[in-house]
Amino acid sequence: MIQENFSEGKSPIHNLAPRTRTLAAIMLSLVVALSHQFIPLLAALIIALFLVFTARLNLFAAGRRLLVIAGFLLLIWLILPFTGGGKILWQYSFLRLHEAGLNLALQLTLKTCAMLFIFLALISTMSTGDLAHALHSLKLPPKLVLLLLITYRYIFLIEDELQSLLKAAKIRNFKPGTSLHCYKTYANLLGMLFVRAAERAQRVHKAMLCRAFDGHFHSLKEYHNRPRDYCFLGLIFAGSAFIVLGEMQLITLSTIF
Amino acid sequence: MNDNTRTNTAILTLEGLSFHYPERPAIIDNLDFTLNEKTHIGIAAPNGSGKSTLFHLIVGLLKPTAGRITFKGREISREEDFKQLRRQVGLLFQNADDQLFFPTVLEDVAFGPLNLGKSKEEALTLSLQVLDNLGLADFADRITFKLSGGEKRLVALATVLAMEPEVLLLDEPTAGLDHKTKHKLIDLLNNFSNLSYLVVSHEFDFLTATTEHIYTMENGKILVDEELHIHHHEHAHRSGKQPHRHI
Repeated sequence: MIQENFSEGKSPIHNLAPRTRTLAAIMLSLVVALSHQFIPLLAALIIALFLVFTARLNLFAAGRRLLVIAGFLLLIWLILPFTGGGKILWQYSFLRLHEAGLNLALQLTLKTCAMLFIFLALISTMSTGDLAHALHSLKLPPKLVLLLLITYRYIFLIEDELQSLLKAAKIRNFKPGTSLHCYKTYANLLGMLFVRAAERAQRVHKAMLCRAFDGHFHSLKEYHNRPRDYCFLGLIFAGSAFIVLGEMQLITLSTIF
Repeated sequence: MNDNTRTNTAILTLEGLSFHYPERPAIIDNLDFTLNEKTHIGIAAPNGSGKSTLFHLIVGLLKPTAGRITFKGREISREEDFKQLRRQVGLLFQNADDQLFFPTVLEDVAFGPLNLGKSKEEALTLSLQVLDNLGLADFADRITFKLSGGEKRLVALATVLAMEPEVLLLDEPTAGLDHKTKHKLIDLLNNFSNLSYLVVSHEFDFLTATTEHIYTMENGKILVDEELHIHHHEHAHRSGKQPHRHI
């Protein structure tokens, strides 16, 4: 269910503390999310690609992750350029290509790709457990950290339950199809999964109470920043500043070249 | 009554304990039981006789409909009392997956000590010590959901022992265990001579190997007057010459 394909590695990115990577990802994605100009967004995409290369990710596997969002982007490209308003660039019978829509679609594509690559390079290179501890050290509320940790622990068991329910259906000759019977079966299956998950949650809570759980989360991990963490954060900060300045049009192409 | 109830001091006493779910017959019915210090008691009872319910009542996960629980001479009734009791009474759940809720083994074992207010260093040292005692020293960084059933059970035991309890309640500890892990568990329990424990199991071999007295449960009561004695007797049947077992 969760395959942490990228979490093991020896690249410079993997050697950074999880907290550093999380902080960098938050900083960059915030800046990217708020940018609208092409030059800053292009710069962000280049930074993101640079990070992916530095993390030495398998480019084929990384490309496959891109496919997941390609569907959404395709939908945007099918609708936005023809409905966006603004100047009409091209027209064929009822189809009108609008400048504003085209710009927006291009912006969204750049943003999405940049963000995806940032998260691939910085966040998917650590295990979910490490991410939870990093977020805890960044003062995320303990309840949310626990929620993340426990979801990560139990999602595999929920998948096991689902698989055994599906097997039970299969050995009684259930074939997926488009009949009311099939939908009802799936609905019951899903309902059963919720019931079992809820019951397990109750048992887990009891086990937590038995070990003196009082709602507070104590992390065993401590992160010490090393020089390379400061250097990396410095570089990311400079990159983000560059994007912000570009967005405010304090840096333009003419000032660079 | 057996010898130890007269000579030793009681650590846990249940008097007239009753429990039933709303509009259902009683699962635990007017149960009396005393666990003494450093004694090891087995309860052999069929499924559905209320063994797990009894354990949950003792640690306050369920509230009895009637009766008294006394731990170390103090009556336990409020949630605050039970919180104190749970520090000293460790419950090993029937399903280890319910008990291991952290991604890594070390985090899970250290969860209890950290909740008890120990510092990170103390919790870490204690957890590693407990894992080492159980022969699980190289398990610290293992991922909990990737452990085998037997390994999970032993790690779950480690999480309970890290709380440094005085009483252990073991709910079907051998369920789903392979032969090797079962024997390891027997050896471990035999080393816990300074702890009291109460084991529920329907494996007589396991109970005789780990406890001094075996009782049974019937109609929501522990039958202390009728201690079970495992005994051997001669018998004959066809193919008796072949090596075989009776369960």
